[in-house]
Amino acid sequence: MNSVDLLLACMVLANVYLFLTSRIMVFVKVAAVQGAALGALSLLQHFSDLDARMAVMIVASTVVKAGLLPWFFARTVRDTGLKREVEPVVGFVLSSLLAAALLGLAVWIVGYLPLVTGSTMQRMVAVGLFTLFSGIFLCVARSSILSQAIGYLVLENGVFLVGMAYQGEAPVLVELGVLLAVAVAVFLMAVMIHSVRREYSSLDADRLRELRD
Amino acid sequence: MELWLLAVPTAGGLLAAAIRNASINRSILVAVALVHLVLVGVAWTLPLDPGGHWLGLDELGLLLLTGVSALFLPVAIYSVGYLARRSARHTATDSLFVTCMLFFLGTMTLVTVAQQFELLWVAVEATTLASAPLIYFHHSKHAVEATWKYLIICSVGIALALLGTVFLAVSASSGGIEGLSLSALTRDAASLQPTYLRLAFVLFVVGYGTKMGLAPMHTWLPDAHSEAPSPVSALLSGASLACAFLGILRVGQLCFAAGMGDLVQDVMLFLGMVSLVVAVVYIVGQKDFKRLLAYSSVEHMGLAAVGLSLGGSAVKFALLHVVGHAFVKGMAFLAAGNLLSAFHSKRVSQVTGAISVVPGTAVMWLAALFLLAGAPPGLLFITKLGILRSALDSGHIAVALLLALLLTLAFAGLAAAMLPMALGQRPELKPKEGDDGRQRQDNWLVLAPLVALAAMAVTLGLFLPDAAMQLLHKASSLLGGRP
Repeated sequence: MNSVDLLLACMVLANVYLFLTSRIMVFVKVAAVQGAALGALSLLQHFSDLDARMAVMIVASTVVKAGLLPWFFARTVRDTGLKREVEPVVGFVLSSLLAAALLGLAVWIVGYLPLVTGSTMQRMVAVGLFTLFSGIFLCVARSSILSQAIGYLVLENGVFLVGMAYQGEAPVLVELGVLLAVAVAVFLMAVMIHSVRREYSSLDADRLRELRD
Repeated sequence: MELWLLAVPTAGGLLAAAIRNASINRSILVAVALVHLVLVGVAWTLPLDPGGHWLGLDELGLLLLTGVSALFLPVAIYSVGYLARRSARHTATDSLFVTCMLFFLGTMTLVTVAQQFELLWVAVEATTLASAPLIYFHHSKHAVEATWKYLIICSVGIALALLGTVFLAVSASSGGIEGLSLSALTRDAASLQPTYLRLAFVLFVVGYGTKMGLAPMHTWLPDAHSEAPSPVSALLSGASLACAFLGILRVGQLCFAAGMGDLVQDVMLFLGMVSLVVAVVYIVGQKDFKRLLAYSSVEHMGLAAVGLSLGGSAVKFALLHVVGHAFVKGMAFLAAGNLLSAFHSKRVSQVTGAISVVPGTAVMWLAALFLLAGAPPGLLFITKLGILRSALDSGHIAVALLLALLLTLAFAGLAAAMLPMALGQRPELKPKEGDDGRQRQDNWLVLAPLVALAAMAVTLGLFLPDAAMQLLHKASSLLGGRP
């Protein structure tokens, strides 16, 4: 098993963990691990042709995804004093089945995608899609708004991994713009989490149902 | 030119953040809006140069930019009156309001001048981020809920559009095309890898369609548009939905150039019809008048999507409809803001006989109803008629009949709520604590912008300049339209 596969396995395990736990702090740690794994993966991929702008990009992206944003979330979790999911919308047995099904779905989709050549690339795209699905799962199936925000971060990690698999080389400026947009979105979400906590004295998304027709 | 259009609102926003003086900030807001509109006017006189790799104004961009800018100036003037109605202790949040409004204008401008797909993505996401604090402006429980839904649903949606952008890049690089600029991709559209282009289009539609309020991805829209302060609602409904539509149109241009126009038309027809049906279901019997207007936006975006799907002459009417909707819906939300401050309620049943309380606003409320419905001589009369005629001419009889039915039902629903609000019995208003009557009255700051927007909608309905017509033809020819 080479180091790329090891990192991809890391991503898969991190995702599966998201399905199986109800501890918010674990969600934050999983997101941080994923950010670090993504940084290592892109470093490995560009190791032979590493230039200054690529290095800047990798460092910036790793610092934001593995450091800054998880740290910010961890602080929010501490401030709001939330330890566990109040009540998962989807139970844990069903969640673990879903994890397996979504992983299967990701692998199945990759089989149908043209231009995915070589086993490493196949695995990368599949893991990227699985990460994306995990993020969406976190957004819809977990009732705390903190897990929704972390779900968004995981979803973005998935998109990054899929993009990396195809070796899309975007100019550094745009990549930084994308990174900045994600970071600001997450920052705003964290600010809003504080406001929700203040107004509703709970982080349960089910409480956010006052606006309806 | 594009740089000036971007620099002016950005600089204004930064200046407002630095100064934090209420009256200076309000002047900055109006001054920037005015300069922006003048710059857009200058852009009409210059030859268009869409060839740039990153930025450039083409027909489609200029059309929507004009709608955004012409809506923003009246909204900015209204905002001055709106902020003045609030008590003086809010200076700090006022400064944030002006800054975010100007950044909102800047990011929407960036959407219209972006000629590269990654930059377009950043721009659309940035409009969400700039406007989220505006929805949260009142810091109420409901505002928190609406802002949260807006942020999370739109961000997740737009993240899918980012995946679409990745797939577009795959499609391009497999066809040997460098970069993701619109001009390069359109030029070599034939060599784009078709499977990935198809995937990209679907993801763009899901992603930007969320932001545009197409059903079934519209769930955040009625909450955000009804809880935001009214000038912000006007911009969200009038301008930012149009910008999200532009995101779909950009990848649509590529699909048409690559000979996959059928896919665009089929998807847009389906989503447009679903949006119309959903909107009508919620419009009829709606009890909250700002939600009423919000669902009406879903209806109008659905109609624009259907217009795009019909091809032929309907395409140019669909594009024009989006611009006309910006003016009329902007005006309707501003009028709703005046009613809200006079009656302190968003319930339809709590607002009656506005004509005897705030006569100016009540008249504009009625005008908004009829202009939205597409009564002559408004701009939406021309566009709705154009789309319906084009559906009949091209043999889409079922579509035309369904459209006519849904539009009629929507009008009935709007009229049933809006007419009694303006004309019903004179209410007995209980004076609220701390209400010195100043809030109740119409003043020119909160009325003139409405009149200006109505005048634009009517004038353009009567005399559409030749230059605009040529622009529309050129823009629609890239999207499967014919004159």
